[in-house]
Amino acid sequence: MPLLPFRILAALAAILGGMFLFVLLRRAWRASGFRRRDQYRKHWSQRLPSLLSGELPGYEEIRWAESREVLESLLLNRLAAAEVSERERITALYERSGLLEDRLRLLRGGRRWQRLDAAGLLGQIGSRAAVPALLEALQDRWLPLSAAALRSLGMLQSPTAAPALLLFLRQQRPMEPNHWVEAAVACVPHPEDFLPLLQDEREAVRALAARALAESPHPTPFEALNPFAFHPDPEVRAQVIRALGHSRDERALPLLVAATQDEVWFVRLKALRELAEMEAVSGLDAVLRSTGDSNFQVRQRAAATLAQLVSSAGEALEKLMENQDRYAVEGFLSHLARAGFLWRSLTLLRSRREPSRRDAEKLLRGAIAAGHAAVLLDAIEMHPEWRVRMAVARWVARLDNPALVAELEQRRATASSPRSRRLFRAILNSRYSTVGDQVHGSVGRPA
Amino acid sequence: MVPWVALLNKLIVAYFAVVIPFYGLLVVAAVWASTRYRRLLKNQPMFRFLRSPLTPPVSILVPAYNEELSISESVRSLLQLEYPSLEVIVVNDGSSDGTLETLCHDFAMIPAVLAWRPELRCAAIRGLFLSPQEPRLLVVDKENGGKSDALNAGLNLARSPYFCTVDADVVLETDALARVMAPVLNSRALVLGTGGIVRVVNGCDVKDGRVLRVRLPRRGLEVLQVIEYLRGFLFGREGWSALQALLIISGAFGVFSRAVAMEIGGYRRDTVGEDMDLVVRMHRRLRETGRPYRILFVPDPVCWTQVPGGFRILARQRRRWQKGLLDVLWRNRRMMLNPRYGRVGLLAFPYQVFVELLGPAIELVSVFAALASTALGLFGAGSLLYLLLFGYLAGTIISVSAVLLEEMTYRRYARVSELLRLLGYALLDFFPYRQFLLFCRLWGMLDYLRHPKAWGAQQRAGFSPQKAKSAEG
Repeated sequence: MPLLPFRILAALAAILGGMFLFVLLRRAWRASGFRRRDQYRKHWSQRLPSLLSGELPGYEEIRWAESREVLESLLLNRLAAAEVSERERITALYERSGLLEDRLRLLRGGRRWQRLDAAGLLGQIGSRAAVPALLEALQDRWLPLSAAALRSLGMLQSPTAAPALLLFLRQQRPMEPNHWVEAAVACVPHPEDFLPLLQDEREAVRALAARALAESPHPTPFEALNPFAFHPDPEVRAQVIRALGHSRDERALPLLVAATQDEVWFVRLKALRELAEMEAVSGLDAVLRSTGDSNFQVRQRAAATLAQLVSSAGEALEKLMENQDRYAVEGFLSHLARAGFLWRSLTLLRSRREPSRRDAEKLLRGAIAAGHAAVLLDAIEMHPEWRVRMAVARWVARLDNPALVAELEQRRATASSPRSRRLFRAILNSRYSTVGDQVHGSVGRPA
Repeated sequence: MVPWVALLNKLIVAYFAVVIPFYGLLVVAAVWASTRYRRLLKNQPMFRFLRSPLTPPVSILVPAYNEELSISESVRSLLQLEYPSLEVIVVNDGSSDGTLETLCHDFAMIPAVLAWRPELRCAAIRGLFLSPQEPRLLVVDKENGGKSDALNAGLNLARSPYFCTVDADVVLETDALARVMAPVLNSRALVLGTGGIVRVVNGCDVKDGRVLRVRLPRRGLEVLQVIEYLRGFLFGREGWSALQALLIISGAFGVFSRAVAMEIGGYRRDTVGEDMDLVVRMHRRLRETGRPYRILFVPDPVCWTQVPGGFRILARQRRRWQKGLLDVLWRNRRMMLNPRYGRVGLLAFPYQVFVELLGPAIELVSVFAALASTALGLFGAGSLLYLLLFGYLAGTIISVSAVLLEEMTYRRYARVSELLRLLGYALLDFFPYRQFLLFCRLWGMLDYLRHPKAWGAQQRAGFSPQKAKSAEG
């Protein structure tokens, strides 16, 4: 074999052998590293209570990077599940032991990845002393670092960061939008501060400011939001509608009702959602109208809103059926079914509270009229509680609905168990002995 | 004859001279992306994603066809996922076994009448089932129409802006969904799709829809598939994702934007490569309309799947995959070397055509050309041996690199004996396992040319040993 090909083969074989060796040596090295870390972990875990109560870790103990990292990870794990008083003690320990200072130093003057790690950790540590350094990092040109700083500022929830965050958006620096929204929502105490940005010429700035306004946990005064309710940008309009809902101001209701007829579907959707949040019964007509909206998602939302607005689902269904809108009725019943409410309402047939029972009956009667009788017949066959099966059977028997006879006959013929078959037979038999509201038969006893 | 063989040799050398460095480029891109990903995520606690009000809800779609043995455990594992808002939609695609009955029994499902809009065409829906115990679960029972058809039915009933497709025979780790959704929350551009890594569950201890202990499979064929999956995901997908030209997100576990999926008409119903087809068409649509977007691979959300334990089933599976690949590439051939589609059209698509699709044929031709050259005296037996050894060593280095990357990053196989077995089998990956796969893939291509619409069926074993035994019996 010529020399060159042989050398190439030998080189490849050497690379392969080197890789094998590397994998095995690395495994051995990591195993010893893990043992060392376990020892540090044990050491710090034993000392943690005394450290938290005020003792200082020794210089020698904390000097080694590995030891320091183990202590930090222990503290961070504890922080994640700590209550307020313990959080304060852990943060104080961070400050006292010099760990915080160390991280701040690394954030300002460390190597690239050290800066990134420090920026991420400072947010988790929760000390507001880190805010100035994080604000400096926010201006860094390396995107992962500024993103980490944004995230950490969001975790620290410091109002002192608010002006810098607003400026950051105005400058339209490259960023991950969700990070900015999270940070802004956490740090800006007055949502009104976002309002000037809604007038910005740049669409991206407007959209983000509007999102932050809507997500803010602090309600925005109605007077401040009112001028933006008919903003030409639908994205802004939709978010202002959300903020109006959060304001819980009754003066916002006419605006929300008007927004249910907005030309853009997602604005209508948001308006319906906020009407539900505000539990605005006065907006019921608008919601009923929206159940027949041209957009499927708006119709679905309207059905869900209706279920939330009206204290009783039976009453809501009755109102919908008055409109004779089949789509709306179907949407409403589907919403109730997917939320598990339709099935739960069956147990209410046994309720001792008269209004609850009446409403459940109203709802189920509406469901039968809308072609959803199967839910009752399935319950008779499958409900895990026998008493509920009986209650449903009695109620169906009392209903005396001729439209159900064929289906009941069919169920009786195909019932999976003799018990269910007997129940269906009893319903059918009792139907012929029904007089008014009284039913005489094996399932006719009052529930 | 001799000049033609010599010319063929030159062409083959040119092909490998392009392909081998390209593999190298993928390896470098994957190592860079993996290291960067781990460092970036190091200080981002998962609870941030779980607590954020901005985390979007997700509908998990599970198409199920004759999955009686594993469906309940899969659904249980999905319902246990740590995610703030999710719904699970299982689509029973006309199973002939007891898939529907198992679901109805295990989750106390009851029939329901729901309003939904048939935006995407799908086979007739026979019934919808809800569980009073678990309102997040919806079961759709429909006529058999294939996986794509089932996914379309699920999409029609999904209510979230993102949907996650999950095979019925997989188990997800509890934080997998949150991890795979993290780029959606973190990205600057619209994220159309993300996919996690698929790992081999054979040999692992699974209980109540959770992988309790990760272990290598016992059978050699399954270990070889472990290495193949590591190579395919940690290098292939990671590398292409880093180059922003990812064309495949595994249908076993992938998240997609529902709005864009609806915009492109959902899944194509007459293809078996529906997962790749969806991603390719998403690329096409967004590139054609000039909208910025990202499609990403995320290496740490893990989806555990069963792999075939026998040669026959494996051969059938690979034939299906190859047919799917050919089908998707043929249908989207306009993208080939088309600058309008950027890196996807100029880099990823040709790679799929020349390496993934035509690779088996070219490798077979290479072997014949080498043998013919030796017979015709173009080069001696020593040179032939050199060529074969070179090919073997270069290929094995890539397989061992996959094990190396796994060891340096995620280290799922903790025991040294397992590591040694992995390394040992990595030596068999390039020969003879690869030749077997080449044969299957060639067979798949020929099959497609003869019967383009016949996709074949797949066999399932279930997670618990008892179920697997009863299935075999």
